[in-house]
Amino acid sequence: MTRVHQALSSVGPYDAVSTQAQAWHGLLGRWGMAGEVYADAIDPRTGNGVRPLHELDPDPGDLVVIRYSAYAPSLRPLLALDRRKLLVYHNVTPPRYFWNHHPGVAVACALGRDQLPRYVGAVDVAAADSLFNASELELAGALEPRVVPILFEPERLRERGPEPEGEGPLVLVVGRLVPNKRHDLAIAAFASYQRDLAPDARLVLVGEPLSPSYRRLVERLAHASGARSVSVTGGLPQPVLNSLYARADVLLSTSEHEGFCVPLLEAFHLGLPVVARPAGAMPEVGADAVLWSDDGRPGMLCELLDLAVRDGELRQELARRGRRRLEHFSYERTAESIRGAVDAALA
Amino acid sequence: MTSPEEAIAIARERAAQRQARAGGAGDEPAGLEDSITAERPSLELLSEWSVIEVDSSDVYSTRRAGAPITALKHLLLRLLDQYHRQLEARQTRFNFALLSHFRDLQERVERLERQAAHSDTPSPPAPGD
Repeated sequence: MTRVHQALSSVGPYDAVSTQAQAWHGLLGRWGMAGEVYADAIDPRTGNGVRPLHELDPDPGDLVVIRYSAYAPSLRPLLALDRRKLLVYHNVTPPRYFWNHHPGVAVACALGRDQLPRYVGAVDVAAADSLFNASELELAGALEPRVVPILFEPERLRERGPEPEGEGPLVLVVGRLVPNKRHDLAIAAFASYQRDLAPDARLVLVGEPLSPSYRRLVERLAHASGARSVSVTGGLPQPVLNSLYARADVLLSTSEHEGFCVPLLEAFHLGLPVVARPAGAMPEVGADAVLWSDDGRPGMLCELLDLAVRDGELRQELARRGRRRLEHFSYERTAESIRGAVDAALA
Repeated sequence: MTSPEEAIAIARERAAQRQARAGGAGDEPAGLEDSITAERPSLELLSEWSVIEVDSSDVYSTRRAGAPITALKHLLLRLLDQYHRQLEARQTRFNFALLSHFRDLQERVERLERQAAHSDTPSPPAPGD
């Protein structure tokens, strides 16, 4: 029986790549092909079910899925493995965002991007979760890379945590606290919105910080902006995040480099309007269901927030378009893409 | 009904009006712009980076009840502070010296390139040619 194993350099409790590995694991199980998920670095907060990478020992007919999102020397020996291999590229952030904030991550990103061609050249099939990422695979030498979107599981959004407290429009930002997400712009836009248009508005920034010092930097920016009612929560368990999504009035993304942006799909599922910058893969995911700020400046973002919160008919139309976008990323449709990539890698 | 496309146009216009009212101010660049570097860092930035300074507050535990482990790690750092300072100083000395050599070499290459360009310039024709 063919089994499909997945190998990651690291797994964490809140990151999209780890979540994808688990989602694929469930799907592969339904097909009777589930192998195991292996990782080199396993965050202690991650639940069980992930095995150390050195235990990976696939049988001759098995497929190894290599998930690539950073420099991963521990994954390199897999390239020489005499087994069928499928590369899934989740994007590696350009290092320029990190040099001043976390040199180690910057080096890992620089090396990760440099070494991508080696991975592309050593696998049977290369796939990416967006056209944007697929274009980077092509630059790395992949011929006709497949696009296999994120496997979106709406049931993850069902369980609710405690109801968030407070009154007033709630602006939600979801994404790791890292420089490419440009939380500074989100804070500046919110500060204008609160000062000029909605004095009782609140901002919640959800996401695992790059480091404690980077978190403090973001908190200092919030303080310096003059904005009140700003919470930097860190990473949150899914049920708690779900409650925030349900209570929020608008999702804001000011990111300037995104390989996919799962929160867009989560917002669409819950009918939450989205205001965002058209960066990276976001326009191909959000298409016409997002209020795009083409200049990415706080002034326009602030006005879009106001319209997204106050205009009921606009909210309804955005929700309708969001539901339509979700059809494009339905579980069944993406499962078909995954099956196609798996079969091609095994052929 | 305001369509998303109309909303975007309205927001763009209102933002422009807001900026005009503020005399071009009020939409200053946000706080991280300057910290995002070019793909190749400048020599000035390399000079800054050559000085090794580690923020010990970034040493922490990610475990669920990690506070005691974080405290233990910080205690170890304090106990080894003298050793780490020596390590940082030696690495900084090397970085700084290397950067000085690099700067000298860069200036020398630029000087030689200027000289080469100058000597490649065809001489003006001699009178009577």
